Amino acid sequence: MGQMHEIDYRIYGEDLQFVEVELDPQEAVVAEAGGMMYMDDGIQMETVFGDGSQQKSGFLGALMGAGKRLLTGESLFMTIFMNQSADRRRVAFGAPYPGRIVPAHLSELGGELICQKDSFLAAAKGVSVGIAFQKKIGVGLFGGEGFIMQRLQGDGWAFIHAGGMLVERTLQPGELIRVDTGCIVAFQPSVSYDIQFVGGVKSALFGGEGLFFATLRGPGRVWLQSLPLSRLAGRIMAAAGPRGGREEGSVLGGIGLGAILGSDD
Amino acid sequence: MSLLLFEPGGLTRRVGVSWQGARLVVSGHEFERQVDADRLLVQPGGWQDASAHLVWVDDGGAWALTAQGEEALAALSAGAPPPLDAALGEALERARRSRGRGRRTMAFLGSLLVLPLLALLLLWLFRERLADLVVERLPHSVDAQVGALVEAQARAQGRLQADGFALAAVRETGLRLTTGVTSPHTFRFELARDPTVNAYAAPGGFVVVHSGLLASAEGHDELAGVLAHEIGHVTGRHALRQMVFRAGFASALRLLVGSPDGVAGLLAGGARELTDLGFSREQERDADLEALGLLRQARLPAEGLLRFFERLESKAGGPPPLLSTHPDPGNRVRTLRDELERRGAWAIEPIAIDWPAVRAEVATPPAK
Repeated sequence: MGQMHEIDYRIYGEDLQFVEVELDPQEAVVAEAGGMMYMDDGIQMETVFGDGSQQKSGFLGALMGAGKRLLTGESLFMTIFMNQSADRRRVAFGAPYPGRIVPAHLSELGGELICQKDSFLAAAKGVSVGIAFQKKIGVGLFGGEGFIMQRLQGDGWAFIHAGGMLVERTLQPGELIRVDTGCIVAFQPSVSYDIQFVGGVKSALFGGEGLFFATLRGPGRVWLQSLPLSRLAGRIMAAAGPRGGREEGSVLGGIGLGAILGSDD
Repeated sequence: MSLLLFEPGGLTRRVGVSWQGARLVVSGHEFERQVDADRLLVQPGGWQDASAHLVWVDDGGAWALTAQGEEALAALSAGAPPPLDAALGEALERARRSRGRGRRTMAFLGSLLVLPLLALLLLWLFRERLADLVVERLPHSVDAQVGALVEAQARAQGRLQADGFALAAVRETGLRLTTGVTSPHTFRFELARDPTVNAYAAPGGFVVVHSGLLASAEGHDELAGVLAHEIGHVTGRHALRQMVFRAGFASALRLLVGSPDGVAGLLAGGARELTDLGFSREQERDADLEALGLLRQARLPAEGLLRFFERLESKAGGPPPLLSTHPDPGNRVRTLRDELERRGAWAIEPIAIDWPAVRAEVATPPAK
């Protein structure tokens, strides 16, 4: 595996997870700045410009990497956690909102993974975090993932995080699934990502799924999330918004019009 | 270069390939597999159409060999037997086209960013013309409504004179200047007790002269000049135009920054104050020219207007309010003088006004 760092990890928690990574001496992980939860004594933290994957690319290279990171909505810097002690040491990274952490071993995936932007949590040092630019205008506008996605490249472990429950599916060659826009977390680059009109005016207007589905066609592995953060945020805004959300114990709560007309929650 | 083999069980491995006649040999780490070319099917796909899959069924499951990127596609199509090489060549062509699509998408996204800015730039470039167009379409009842508001406010302040020589002089001069002028506005001339050297005109024809202006004037012709100038503002609908301008500026700013709150609100407020300073230089020049025409029609001398501005301008201690809101007066006096020379002199028919009595009255304003 050469320059990639083989790390051991364990994921704790149910809906609000964190991943604990065990590092051998001189092993390192890179993480989003601000993602660290705790670390043992002996682990040294170093903040780098860019993703720390190219050590000797010079200032311009670092600047390019940092600029790309700005586009994906990440912070300009990443933090490298290196075990400088002589023993095994641990460092943990917490998920920023309710959801699941998925470990992905990039070498088992052919060395590359396309992710929803902002989903990267941490990875073995040597994994590069870049941009995957969506060239199809329709997919960029209506696919739910925008024009900018993240590209993880390397051979080591990478931890990605998304909202709600995450499910991994392996698509057979030619197998197609339709996904609600925004629910895609990651897929191998062998997977075709496209959009499809939901079909029919009634479905488009009242189906509640928007005008388009995202479609994923195999072969390859895909990860889907049950609750995109934007949807969760939308629900919270609706419940806590200025119009006043419904309260559990409110007098009208059980019998009011709101309860009769109210939806599933 | 990336060639991936997807096995029916879900396993992915990196492999190398070679063609041995009509057979595809897939080999990886401690792994080798051979497939007859006639069982292979080419499926284009992958992220950004940059891949192609060779798909076949074996051992009861579907296998796929994915060549990702132009380099891998070229390697896979090299030496491929006849029906497949064409299909793989096509996939390679698709992958190349996808590169061009990236530039198109960039251009599209760029234009999304640039177009609003361009629209704003156009608005800014044609702002004068646009304001004129809007004002032209506003009925004159709008002037009257705005003027009524200003008038009500002025009356509420209680500084308007009810009678006296000075008020009579102002009204008589105003009447002379507006008689024979066909205008949709109803002119009212008032005198306010205010020591500042100022006069203003609200839309719709409400014109107010401050007593301070009368006190500083050296003759009736100066009053006539200033009044003619203010009437020029009314007939040119200059105040209305400034209001349209300000409203347009505020809404454009709101469009640009999204909301009038916070920083944007501050910005809008600051910008508003800038435009609040008064009429534009062009409007002042228009009002001056209009004033010359009015004075000529009313058979009143134009020298007063020139003298008044000249004197105020040369006064020490900063310009009086009337000039501070009227930019670049020196240039203006010169322009006015040139224009006056061009038009030539006209017959004068003075108004019988007891100017010393007017001066005496404004010099000792009645007790409050």
